[in-house]
Amino acid sequence: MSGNGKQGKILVIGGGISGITVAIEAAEAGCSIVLVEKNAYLGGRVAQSNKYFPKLCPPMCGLEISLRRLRANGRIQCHTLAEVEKIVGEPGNYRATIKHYPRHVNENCTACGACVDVCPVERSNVFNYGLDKTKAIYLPFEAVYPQRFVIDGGVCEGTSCSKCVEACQYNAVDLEEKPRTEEVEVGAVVFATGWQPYDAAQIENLGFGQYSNVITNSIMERLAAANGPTEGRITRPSDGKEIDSVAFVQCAGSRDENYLKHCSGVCCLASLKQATYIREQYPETQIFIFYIDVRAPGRLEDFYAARQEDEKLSIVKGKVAKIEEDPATQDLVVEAEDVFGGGRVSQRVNLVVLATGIVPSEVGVDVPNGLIRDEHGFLVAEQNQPGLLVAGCAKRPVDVSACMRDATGTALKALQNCV
Amino acid sequence: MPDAYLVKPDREFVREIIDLGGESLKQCFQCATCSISCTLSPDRHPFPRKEMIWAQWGLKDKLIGDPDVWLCHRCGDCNVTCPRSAAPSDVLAAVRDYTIRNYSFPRFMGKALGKPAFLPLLLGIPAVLILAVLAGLGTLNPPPGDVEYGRFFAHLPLQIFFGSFVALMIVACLVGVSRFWKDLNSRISRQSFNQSSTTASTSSVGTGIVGAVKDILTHTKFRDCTENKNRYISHLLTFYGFAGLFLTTIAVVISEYVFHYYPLPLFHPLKIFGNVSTLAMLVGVTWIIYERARKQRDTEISTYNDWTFIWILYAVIITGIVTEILRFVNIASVAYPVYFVHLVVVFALLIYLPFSRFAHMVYRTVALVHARYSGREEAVESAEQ
Repeated sequence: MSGNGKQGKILVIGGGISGITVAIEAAEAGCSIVLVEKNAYLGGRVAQSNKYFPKLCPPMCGLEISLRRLRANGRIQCHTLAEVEKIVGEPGNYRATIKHYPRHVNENCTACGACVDVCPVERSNVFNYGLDKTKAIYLPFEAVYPQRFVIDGGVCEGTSCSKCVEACQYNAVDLEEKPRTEEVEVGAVVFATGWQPYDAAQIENLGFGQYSNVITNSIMERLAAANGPTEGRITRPSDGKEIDSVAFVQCAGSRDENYLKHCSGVCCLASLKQATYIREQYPETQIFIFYIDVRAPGRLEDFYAARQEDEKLSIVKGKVAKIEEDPATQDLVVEAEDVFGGGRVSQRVNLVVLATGIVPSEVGVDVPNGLIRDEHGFLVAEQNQPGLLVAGCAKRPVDVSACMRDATGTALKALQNCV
Repeated sequence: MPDAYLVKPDREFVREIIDLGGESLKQCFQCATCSISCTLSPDRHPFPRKEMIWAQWGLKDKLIGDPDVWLCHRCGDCNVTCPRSAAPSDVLAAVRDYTIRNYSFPRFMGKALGKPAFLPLLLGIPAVLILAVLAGLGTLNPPPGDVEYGRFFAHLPLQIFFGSFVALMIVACLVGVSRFWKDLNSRISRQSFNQSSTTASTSSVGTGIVGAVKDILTHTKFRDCTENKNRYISHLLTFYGFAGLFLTTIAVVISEYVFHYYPLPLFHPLKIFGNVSTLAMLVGVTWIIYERARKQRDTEISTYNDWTFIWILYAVIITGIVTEILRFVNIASVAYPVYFVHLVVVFALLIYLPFSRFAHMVYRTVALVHARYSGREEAVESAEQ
């Protein structure tokens, strides 16, 4: 394992928690790594989360430890704003084509922010699921790695504007940077391509995208996060008002043949966790969780039991089948059958959180004989070749700790396939 | 919490519900979406979620005496929203078929009507009986001359023949329905909807009947279904067509015996009324057949029980129309055989009523009356407001 050439070299696609874990575990074992991330930063969905269940600790904490290990390790080549287009070859001998998209900001950047003040263009902030805006030149979030600004080429007016170029005293801005491709030779490839929240607008009866106070659990993470659009204050998107009542809708689109067939296995705990976000800020707010079945396996059941102590938290068996908005107040009326209570419930609340599920990210990489997916679109563990491996949520919907265990195991498999 | 209830699963019952078209019932995972998407379901103890778990667990006693099964008009709204393709609408239809079979008197008739193997026998019986009567009358070979059905099967023997079988049929209905009513009563005292509802109130059987008949005549519940709007019209046409022909038949018999006014001229109002009723039924049933055939593939199951009833009804209409036309065009060689077939299918339709899908007419009416009598229907109406 010299780390030179393709021997002992691993390509990791995806720089979320799974990809980072594969990279550092394999690198610390002596391999050299090419880590390719589509976004301008590492950390993926974990960076967008507010707290982990069941310990309710901040994800950035663990992520920072991982990133420190990553930076300290000289064997990891990290590419952000890059995508793998094509892979050819066989186990131990792959050639991958990587496309680099322009960041327009080079490593001279000190993240001082002088460019932001002069930038005249705004863009919807994807990191916050469109809840706020940033300038066309922006820092994805404050603790971001790499700690560099990025320009959204889709909205930037380019050289005709050039105000950021003038404002930057470090010569960090290059508006004429072009996309380029690169080829690397590796012994194994790990797909750690992660997941996306299910598109809640697809669900016909729950009003997402139609009523502004119907949000998803992913959006709730950003609302509750101190670095989010509201600086962590959970308020109504429509009017910024405080919340007296909130309903969590479990299995929103999930376990449903009309939408997303599978169970993502984490949304129950995510909602119980998010109930603590609400309780922390609003001691009196009435919280409802409507469910079909609560999935809280193993030690997570303790967390579930602890939440049931909350007298203002009602956990109601019965799926929400209809949501309607009162146009005057923009409150929402959720309808479900309270199965144990024996009747229909029409509950008026200020805010509705849809517990939407995990959908595997689209993977457009061209590999020999194609990628094998299961019926739900996740990549199966056993691909066509032993040198092509899958880690984390690309393989199945799981929580962060399961991703990290899986990623560590995948790193070991990758080692076996490239040395 | 309800009182402790010892679950005694009846696996044979589950199997029969599956055979009767409820094959999807085990898909249900009790999410209760159906109870909300149903526009007819009341606030307290809504259906069909609870019926689904009773069906899965084989709780026959709970289901066959459950008036809610009959409050469903099978619009299929729940089938569309169901996340598991468990088709609650199909399962309730199967439970209704089972209920009809269960209360059949004599019981073997209910079983025979449900089995394709018995169909030739069931049609053969009226054929042989009618031939025997004709042989007795000596008109097995109809007299030559203009087509006149009265000379083939004389009116008085015809009326006595059918009248006595209809009387038997009514007895069978009454026995079945009284058993059904008894079970409905015992179920309500076990479950009681009004205890927990402040709005519901009970009414007398008399007011219950008035309310139920009003509901049936206006088809209000049918109209509330969203997914299956056109069933409202097709069923309405069939219903009024049938009712119209029923009244016409009685009126013609009165005309013949009381006023000795027979045959009626073609443009007599009663004649026109009868022909319009026939046309309404023809359109209604054709529409029903078309819709069921169209849906058979995906959204809704039509079973053997559905199809035998519908096709026999259709055969009655078609042979009736052809019989009438052949009299005008005066082709004796075809007219009498068609009239014979018409009589056979009329027998199959009317006399097998208590055991076939046709019995829904009786059982649903009784269940609707009971729903008012017990306060269940009040709960439904208050939910709608």
